[in-house]
Amino acid sequence: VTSWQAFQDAVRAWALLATGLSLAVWENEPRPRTPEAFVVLSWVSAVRPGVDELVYDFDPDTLDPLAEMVPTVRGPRVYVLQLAVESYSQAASANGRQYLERASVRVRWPRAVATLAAENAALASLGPARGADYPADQRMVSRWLCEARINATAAETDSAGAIGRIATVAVSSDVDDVDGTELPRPPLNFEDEVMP
Amino acid sequence: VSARVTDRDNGLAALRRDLGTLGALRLRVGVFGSRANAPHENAGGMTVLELGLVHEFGAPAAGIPQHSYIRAVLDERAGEIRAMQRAAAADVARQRVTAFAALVRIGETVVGWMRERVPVQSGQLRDAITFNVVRAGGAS
Repeated sequence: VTSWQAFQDAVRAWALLATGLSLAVWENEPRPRTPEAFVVLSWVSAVRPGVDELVYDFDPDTLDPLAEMVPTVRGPRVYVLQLAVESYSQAASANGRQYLERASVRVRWPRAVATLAAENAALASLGPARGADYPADQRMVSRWLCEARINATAAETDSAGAIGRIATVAVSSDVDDVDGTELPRPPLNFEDEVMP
Repeated sequence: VSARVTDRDNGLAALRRDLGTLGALRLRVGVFGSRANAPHENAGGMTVLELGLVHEFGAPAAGIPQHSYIRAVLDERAGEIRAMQRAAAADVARQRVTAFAALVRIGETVVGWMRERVPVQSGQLRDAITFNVVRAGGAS
């Protein structure tokens, strides 16, 4: 995960593929007015289970030799996503539970796995489907929920913080013989000799 | 002829009993009990539990976002809860606390974390977050 926007877009595409629905909204987006079932996505929690690491990547194409090493901090993340399918229809072919039960197997489709993998993420587990209707506008809204646990790697690259590296070393020496005279240069004394 | 056998187990029997009890007890944390079933004073006829569900899972059609205070705490504090469980087992094994008291200590801590997270309007929902210790497969 380097761009939250791209990650959310990938999660939305993954949710549509898994449920087989044609509409998925994040909970703070405008809600559709549609007779079709749709899934509402919301984040339950984001956990950082470990310590993030700092790595330097070598960029051989940069023109400035003092900016060849680009630092990136990256670390593991566990995101818990709530999938809430709302539907008017209670038919077994169109209610929320049906979509979530389908999702429980479709999440392992290679296409679904690849959708998350493109964002350095993968599904760890998908919880059971639970009915959780709620009241709104003097009616009950039919809703089925489940939770997806997604393991991901978050990374941020600091391009402006690039530094150089020690590529070669030039050595000069000034060693005298026992009688006080300087040893020949070269081969016994070095004069700006470049070491690889 | 009479014989008397005195069994000095230095607390082994009590230790076995306590460790067995720890395995048989379950800690439940959440919104339940009489406070949960009371009507909420400014939630349009909903009970405190129903309002708690609306906050935990959200109510998109009513414009209320999901604001998890139970699942999010259990996810984010999972490492600390595991550490408390390990500490509790060690304390019971050393007979510093009973199994029941060890679970009460965990319950109070977790309830405190959940109360910090819950959206507060009147405090009724916050006060309804509670815990109890039950015997596995039975009532408390």
